[in-house]
Amino acid sequence: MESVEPGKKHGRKFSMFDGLLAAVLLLALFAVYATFIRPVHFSGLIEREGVSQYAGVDLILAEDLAWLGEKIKAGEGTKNVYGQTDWQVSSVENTLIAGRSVWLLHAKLLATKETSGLVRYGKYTLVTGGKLFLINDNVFIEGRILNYKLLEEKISI
Amino acid sequence: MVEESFLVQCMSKIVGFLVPSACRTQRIVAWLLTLTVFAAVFMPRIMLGSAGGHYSIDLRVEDLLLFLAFLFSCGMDRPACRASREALWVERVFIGFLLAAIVSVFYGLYLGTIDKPLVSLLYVVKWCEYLLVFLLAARLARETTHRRLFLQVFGVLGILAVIYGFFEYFRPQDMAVYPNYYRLFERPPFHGDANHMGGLLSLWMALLAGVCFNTRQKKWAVFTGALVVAAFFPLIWTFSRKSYFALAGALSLAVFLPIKRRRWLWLGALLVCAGLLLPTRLVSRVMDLGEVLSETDPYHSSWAGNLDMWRRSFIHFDKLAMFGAGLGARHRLFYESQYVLVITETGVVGTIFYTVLLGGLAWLGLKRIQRAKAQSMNRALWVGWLLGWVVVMLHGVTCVSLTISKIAIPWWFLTGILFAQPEFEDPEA
Repeated sequence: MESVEPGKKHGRKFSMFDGLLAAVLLLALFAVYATFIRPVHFSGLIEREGVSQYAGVDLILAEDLAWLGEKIKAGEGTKNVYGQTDWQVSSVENTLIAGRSVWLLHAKLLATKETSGLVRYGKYTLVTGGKLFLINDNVFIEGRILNYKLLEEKISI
Repeated sequence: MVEESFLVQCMSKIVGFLVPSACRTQRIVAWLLTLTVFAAVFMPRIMLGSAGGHYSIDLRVEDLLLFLAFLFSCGMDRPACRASREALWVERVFIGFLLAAIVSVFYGLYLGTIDKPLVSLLYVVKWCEYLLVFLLAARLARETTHRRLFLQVFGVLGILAVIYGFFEYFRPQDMAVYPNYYRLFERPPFHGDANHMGGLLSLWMALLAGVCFNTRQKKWAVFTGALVVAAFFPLIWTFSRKSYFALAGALSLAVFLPIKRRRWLWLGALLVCAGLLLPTRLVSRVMDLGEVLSETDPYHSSWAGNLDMWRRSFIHFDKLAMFGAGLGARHRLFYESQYVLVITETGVVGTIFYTVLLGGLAWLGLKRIQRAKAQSMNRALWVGWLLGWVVVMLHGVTCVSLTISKIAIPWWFLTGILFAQPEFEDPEA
């Protein structure tokens, strides 16, 4: 520990603070180089967060909720606290699948693609046959995933 | 140390040319710092775009204000703004931590654990801002006028947060269907900040509680006690359990400090009664904890989720132990723990500096409490600061508290104000 004595004349010399500024500057230069000139590729040595991405899902409404099919309107959905669309119904149709009449719901979900390749919506893994719940202040939708695909639109976190 | 900086000395000539009066320069810096603290807490972020199509890059008003404050600070009257010995020590260890963090980023780039170096750079710059807040507060608060101004700023900051909390509670921006909780500070101008504002409120309440428990002036004891009770409700409505426990831990530990225990008992009883007897849903939120702790599904319990993420954070740590994976290697939301973030991203070297920095602060704070005059306002403030330190430490177990500017900037600002005062100087003397 040292104190800056009053009246002491300070000459120009490099201090720890200069060292920090120089290190930050060096890092800035190297960051630009490693981003635009010679990008660094992720080695996979660590596990890290998944990438948020929208997924389009075709959902077969649960049998006991079939009466809901006529009530759900396109545009029904919810936003998260950051103002991003969490899920939104694009359209609902009555169709025949394997000879049975079902309500098919097309929706867009804010999913996460994990480093393992799994795609999740919250705790639910998106997979054909998987169960999915979509809830907002008006409606509680339960269904099984017929199929899904990741959309191009990525979401920043 | 900063005064000796080559860059600062060069910059001081330019600032001296633009603003010839060093005294006026100090006033400008003091006001810029004041605005910075308010902007950090209340100004919404400005979305600039994204890096790698994934990380959003936000510009925050406090970034600009701090940059201006730094430029002007180069022209401050250096002998009048010399830092105390302890503040210099804190700065040195803080810089040591930042250098370790920078080394960790280079190491991460070498190992390929970082592929977005610009994101890591922004993390480093953010931590440099926290150092700057401490550095400026620790110099400017040497003057009684600035010290008083800054303490008032910290007080008003909390009062505004409390007023906003009541306003949002009675005029919610959205619906929350039972049994969901409507959490304050989640929606604009905030950005999912219930836990962060909860942490800030706990820090603010801890400081006031310390003053309430220690001051010999009854009117101050009543005033600060009333503010703590008023702030308790917005804190409850954040439904941030980590903030509840951080505050409860700090107030419980206060009993071991030299305080007036009768006041401690009164305030504690008031808070417990307010929390349990009024219809605040505090009990149901706290009772949920049993289910959260006993649940092993990481997608169903935040605690199990945290444990799972922490486990995943340490995968291959043996190969990265010395310098870590590099600051910014993962998104901060991955960790939900300041300690896990520091250990896994800056490694053993960064963790040593971080531990010495925060442990040293507490040690110096305890020494100040011992040496301050009994029941003086000075001691009251130090007791409050130490309780705030406990809040930050406990909150950091399940939140990246000191990475979040809404907690970190007010925290380093408050710490700078108190450490500005030389060791053997009592402001009341």
